[in-house]
Amino acid sequence: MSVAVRCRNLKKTYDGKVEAVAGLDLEIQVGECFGLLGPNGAGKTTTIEILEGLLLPTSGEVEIFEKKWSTHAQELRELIGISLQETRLGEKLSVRETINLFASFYQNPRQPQEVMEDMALTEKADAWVGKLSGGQKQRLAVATALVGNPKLLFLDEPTTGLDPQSRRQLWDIIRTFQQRGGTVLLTTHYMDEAEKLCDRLSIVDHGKIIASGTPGELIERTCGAQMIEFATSNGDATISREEWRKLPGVEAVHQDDGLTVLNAREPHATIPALLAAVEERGLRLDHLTTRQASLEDVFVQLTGRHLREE
Amino acid sequence: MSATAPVLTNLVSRGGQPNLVRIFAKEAKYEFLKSIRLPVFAVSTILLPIMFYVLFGLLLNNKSGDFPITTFLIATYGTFGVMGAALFGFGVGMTVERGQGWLELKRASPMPPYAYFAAKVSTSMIFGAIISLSLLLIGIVFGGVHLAAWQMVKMVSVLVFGCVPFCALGLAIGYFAKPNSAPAMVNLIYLPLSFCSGLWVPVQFLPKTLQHFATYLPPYHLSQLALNVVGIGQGGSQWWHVRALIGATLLFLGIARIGYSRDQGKLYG
Repeated sequence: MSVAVRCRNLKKTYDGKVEAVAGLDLEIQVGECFGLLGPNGAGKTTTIEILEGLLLPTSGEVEIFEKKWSTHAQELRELIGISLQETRLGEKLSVRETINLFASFYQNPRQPQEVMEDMALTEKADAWVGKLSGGQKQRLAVATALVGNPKLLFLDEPTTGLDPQSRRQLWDIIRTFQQRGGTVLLTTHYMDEAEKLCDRLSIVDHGKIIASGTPGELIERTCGAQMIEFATSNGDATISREEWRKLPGVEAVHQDDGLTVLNAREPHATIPALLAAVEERGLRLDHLTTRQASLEDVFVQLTGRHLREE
Repeated sequence: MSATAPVLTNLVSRGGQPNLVRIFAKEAKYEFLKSIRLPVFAVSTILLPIMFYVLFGLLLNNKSGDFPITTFLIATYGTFGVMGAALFGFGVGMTVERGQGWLELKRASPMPPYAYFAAKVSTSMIFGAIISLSLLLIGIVFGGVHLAAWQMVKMVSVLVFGCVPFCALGLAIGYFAKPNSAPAMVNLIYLPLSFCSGLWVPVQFLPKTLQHFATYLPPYHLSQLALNVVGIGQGGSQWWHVRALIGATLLFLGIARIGYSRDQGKLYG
């Protein structure tokens, strides 16, 4: 398999003080959908803008299809399509005009009509951009990225602020692009999006990658298979985290929003032991749920914070 | 050879250079459509000079003396109009597009950056032509203006190409202003510059200090070039006015270059 994106020891410091990217390594294979997952301010957008050739890194190396931006910018711009975070397209142009305009920039563009059909924008072809809904505008932004017939698509938080139906429509568009052989680099702070779309992902925090792998690997490696969440009350006795940790099958314990959360690899052994411990101490069990661990849990486990926290 | 090599080989064999004519034509067409569909831009740039002309040239003109005021005002309000089209089109338009990420999106595409600027200059020129032709038409039909065909062609040409220094000024504003402050900043420059250059009141009726100050202002020189076409310029050779406009263009481009470098400092070429 060949490499679509490779960066080594990428750093970006603003004004010599703020370190937005602090030594980041990535390798994305051709045909992969790769996710950069992290909270706001983690350095995702800075990283993606460096990879897109829009921002110079303070140090480090970037290669797109084994070419460097400094020497092959024009060639690389023909190969990539980008959808920036919060781009507002010209409101007084129609959908058709906007896509035609972007098609004219490329040497081998796709047919605008075909792109509009793929994006479910045909009905809105003659509507001005200013009259579109949020989801339609976002699909148009992705259409301007796809009309150049790119091999690599950069999507910076493409579904932020969209309703669930619009999000699913965009996911289908991304999957179709990937099925046609395209490579996708996606940033998001939606865990379900990353889990559903990404073949592999890296979790970024404070400008560094703190974990990488397939969604399943990350969950398995970091959290175990199941999360047991519970809350107790009505007892003089309290049970420390260390004691919960000693229950059979428990790999880690943390507190989250008033709940005690156990990462359990063997819930069939953990739950009876948990219930016995509650009974033994005379506590009342106010809440008990078990669920599959998610990437959100991975992030909380690694950083102690939630992805959507500011 | 790696598997990515064919991707790049295919790309290069797609046809070498991008089709610059196609890119420019589309960019210019849509730039014009975007502007003309924006009422606040179209109305303020086209209607304002025409409204002033009708008001001060036709309705409030007491026709005293021999001074051909209706002809004079075609040149001065024409200058006022092309300056507005260039300053608002470039200054405000570019600032807003930078703020919205539109410019960044285009920079990330293979579109040559100069196509964007060339399209904006073309649009300013088209608006300049619409404004000067409208003023001429109204002047001829309602204001008793008599000009030879060559004078009309020359005056419109002077005004259309005279938008270039103001495009450069707009470009400089576009690189330094913020989207919210750009309209105010343009108006702060546009209106005093118009008055001090003698575009609303003939420069000889301004106080002596302002008359002298006007000779340092680009709109004064453009209006004088347009007035010289009909033989009512207020002094100075054609070449002096042309040099002044070239000098102003270079100065504004120099300022824009500083702003551009500020932006480009973080971008690849």
